[in-house]
Amino acid sequence: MKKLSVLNIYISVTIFVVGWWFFAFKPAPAQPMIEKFSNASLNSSQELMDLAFLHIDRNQLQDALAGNCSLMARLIVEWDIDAQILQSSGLENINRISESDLMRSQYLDRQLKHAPLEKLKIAQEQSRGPFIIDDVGRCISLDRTFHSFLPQTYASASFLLALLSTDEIAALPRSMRDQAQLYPKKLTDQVPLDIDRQNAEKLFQKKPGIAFVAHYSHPATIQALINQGILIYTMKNLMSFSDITNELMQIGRIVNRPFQAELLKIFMEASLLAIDNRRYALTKENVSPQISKQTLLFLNHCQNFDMPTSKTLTGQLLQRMQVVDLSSTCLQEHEKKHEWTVPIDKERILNLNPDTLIIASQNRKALEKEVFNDPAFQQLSAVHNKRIYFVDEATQHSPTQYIVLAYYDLAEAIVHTP
Amino acid sequence: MDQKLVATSLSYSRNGKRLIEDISLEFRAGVLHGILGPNGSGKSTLLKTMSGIWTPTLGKVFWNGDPLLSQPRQRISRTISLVPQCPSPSFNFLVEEIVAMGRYSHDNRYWNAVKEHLVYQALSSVDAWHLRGRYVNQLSQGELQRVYIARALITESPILLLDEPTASLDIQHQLEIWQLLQKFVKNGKIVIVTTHDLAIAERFCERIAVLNHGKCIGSGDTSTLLTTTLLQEIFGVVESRNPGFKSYSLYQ
Amino acid sequence: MISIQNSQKNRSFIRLNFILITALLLCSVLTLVIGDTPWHLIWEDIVNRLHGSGAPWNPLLNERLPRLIVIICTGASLAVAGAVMQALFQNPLASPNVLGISCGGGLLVVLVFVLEWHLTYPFAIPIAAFAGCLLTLLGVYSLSRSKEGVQLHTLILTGVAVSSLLFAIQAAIMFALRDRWMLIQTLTEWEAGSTIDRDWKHVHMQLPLALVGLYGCWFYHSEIDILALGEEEAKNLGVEVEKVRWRLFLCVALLTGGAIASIGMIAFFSLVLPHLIRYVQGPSNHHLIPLCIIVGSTSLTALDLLLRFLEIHALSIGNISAILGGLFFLILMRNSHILHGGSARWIKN
Repeated sequence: MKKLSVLNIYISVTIFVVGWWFFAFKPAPAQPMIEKFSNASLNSSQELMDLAFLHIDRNQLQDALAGNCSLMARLIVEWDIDAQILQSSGLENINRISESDLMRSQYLDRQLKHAPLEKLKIAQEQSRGPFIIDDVGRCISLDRTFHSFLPQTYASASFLLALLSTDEIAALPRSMRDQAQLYPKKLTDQVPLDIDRQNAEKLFQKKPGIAFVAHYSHPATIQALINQGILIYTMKNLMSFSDITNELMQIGRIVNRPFQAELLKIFMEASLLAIDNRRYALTKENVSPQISKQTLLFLNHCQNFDMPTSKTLTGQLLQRMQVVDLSSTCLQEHEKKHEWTVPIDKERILNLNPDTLIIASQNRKALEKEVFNDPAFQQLSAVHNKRIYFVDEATQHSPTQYIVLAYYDLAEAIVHTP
Repeated sequence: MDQKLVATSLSYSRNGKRLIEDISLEFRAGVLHGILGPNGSGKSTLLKTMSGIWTPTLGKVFWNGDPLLSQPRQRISRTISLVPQCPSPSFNFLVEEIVAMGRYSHDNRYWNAVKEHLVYQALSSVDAWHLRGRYVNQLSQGELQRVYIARALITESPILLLDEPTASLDIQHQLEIWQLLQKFVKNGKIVIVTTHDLAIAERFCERIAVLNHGKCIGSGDTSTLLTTTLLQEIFGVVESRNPGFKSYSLYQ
Repeated sequence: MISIQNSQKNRSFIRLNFILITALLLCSVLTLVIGDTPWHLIWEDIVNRLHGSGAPWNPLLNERLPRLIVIICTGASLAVAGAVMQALFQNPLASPNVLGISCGGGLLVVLVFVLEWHLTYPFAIPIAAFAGCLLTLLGVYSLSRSKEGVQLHTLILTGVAVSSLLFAIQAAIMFALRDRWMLIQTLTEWEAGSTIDRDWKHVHMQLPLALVGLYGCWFYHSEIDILALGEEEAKNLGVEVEKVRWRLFLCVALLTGGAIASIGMIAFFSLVLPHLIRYVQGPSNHHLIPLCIIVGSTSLTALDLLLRFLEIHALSIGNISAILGGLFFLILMRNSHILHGGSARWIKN
């Protein structure tokens, strides 16, 4: 009897807790849902027929950024012609790349395509210069040509994949392999080694001439590389578009691909201009002429939501776009100066009630489901007007040439008409 | 009915070591019982086993013919109460609270004992009522001992076990405690005290049991049990016949 | 014929209660009132709701109120859990961490994040937190069992060993996945504790656990007092030590699991607050447990309010509670005359 009463207590408590959870968490009746839509529509925006030529194919853009020089040169020319057409039709805010850059890009492409290999090599070496200064002020002699390179940072690995063939790259950061959306598996598989120091001996056998390290890399790692006779190029964090292009040029010189690096740099700048031109043209001629005045809110989602400040790359891209970014209205001055991201709760999001909401997340599908099921988000006009977009977090935070894709995604969200 | 506590073939082992072995003893009301033995003989173990604080490996304890240790814990505590050797509470309770806790075996809401004057009665009977508002860490060892005896009294248990209650007390307090125990015996309780003070045991305990290495060497009347042979073999002493040796009583 | 000191304690208990409940009410009202949405809009929506036409989400009813409930439950749970553990182990330095309960909950949550179960099952995190706490308790208890039953010193040693092991496993997982910086960021944010976007699902997850746990601890408050004297003493006085101790540990696991499930790790609350209250009011759980509930709730609510009011984003509520708790502890140690063995209110040297 005594044991029975003890059992009764445990059973009662379990029933109480489990029962509570059962009634609290049983699936709610289906609510009228906002119709979901996928970002696939970002790639096939409903442009007006006469501006259809302004379409920029994201895959093509990514292909070019991966180091396809012919494609880069072709697209630069096409975009320049597009810009001329738009200017001639009287549209404002249309910009072309400079004449010198245009000519330079075509010249570089022709050199790379047609020049004999030996002459090209010599020309590239002459263009490098005798030495280079890294980001911490150390001087590195370029009196010899390196044939193998060790990128210890994510950004340098991305540049090297675009500029070099895979057999010239000793290893890659492991996290890069998880980003198949930027670095296809069949490409990264061609560099089987990871940069982890467990592979120190295997890496040494690859005989890299120079290693690109971060300023926060482990001192023991840097010393080990020096002991192995590997030169060290130290990179600081790339905090802006110009930092990225400058670093690209530096690395291009070191790896004896200054022409490719320069072409990629010009292409990146041309891409931003082309994306801007497209956005101006479409928003001008769009069905909803007020779209340029629409408010926008960009959020990152990890565990909770947060807003990037202008210290981040995304913040700077948004500033360049000159959109009405609501985060700048609710951030305080000290936050803008000192913080990288500022947390934001649902109540504040609702109060801001942006016309366009862009959310960067690593797990888009799960987040979509969570957002569309959340009664708080259902009250947002962005959700009602189908102007909520989910973008890839890895692309948005990539301090590499793929910042262009991040800019593309943002621009498409703005011009997209549901 | 003559109340009787009987321990039958009591044994207790820990980590493979037998601390007490096959001890059978009988205790009656109206008699002050002493348990003697040198250090490590198993006196404290015997008390803890009899009170059920440690579960005996073998053997049983009977109270008036009924098995004691198979009963619910609260009932055992209403029957038998142990005053530990050198108590040292980890938290600084009030004396009143410590004494009132003894009432738990009767009433889960033990603090009612304060309102019901039971604490007053218990502390008064050990002449410690003036200590009621003090914190336990402010008490001397003798005062703490009295408080714990008061706590044992408040349980109203017919059996009192005391483990070396006078171990660290001065002579006056020792004698006071022993006189108190005699009073409890007169009131009908069964009082069992462990001590290694032969002279005190001889003076106050009518019946004793002697333990050595966990075994009971003998039990019976104090005068007949404490033979010269036993004193020599167990305690390694002989009785002093020195006329200069004095014994003491309380100064009234 | 209650002693003067006891009467004084009772009076101070009533006074303290009055002050603390007032403070709690004030902090609660401010928590509900302070926010980005103007009050008149909130009120309008509530009125519309009563007439059946309100918005599906109201800042007061769907965020501020559940957040307040979760904070109150967490503060109360952690403080009471700490008080109970300190009594059971007769050690003012004890906390739920002694048995590795928090580590167990933390490890399972890390696994949920790593395996991304929380994306498919949103309630995987709270369930993992609670299950981790419970499984760790069961594991420690089973490993401590011997022929003589479960001894306190064995529990402590096993708890320390198990928590070290669990912590090491968690550290190993984080090291192995150090390249996944988004995961590391998620785990860092979770471990620091957060009260952002708490809604009714967090309330429903924590409240039944907190109610059962707090009621269980209150139900056994007499036994906790007696157990504070030691296990043998408790047995001597009639407490069924093994049974009561097990149930109290279960209550502590429920309280800790619920807190971790709803907010994350809040350090030092369960260690410092019971200390402080014992220092002021004494060790009797008749007063200690209710005071822990009120002080715990009030402190955490006030901390959260402060963070929101000052818009401090660089620190989480867990960080602040750990820093303040640590400082407080040091001050308490300095002032408690423990080294001099004087009038220390809660420990006998």
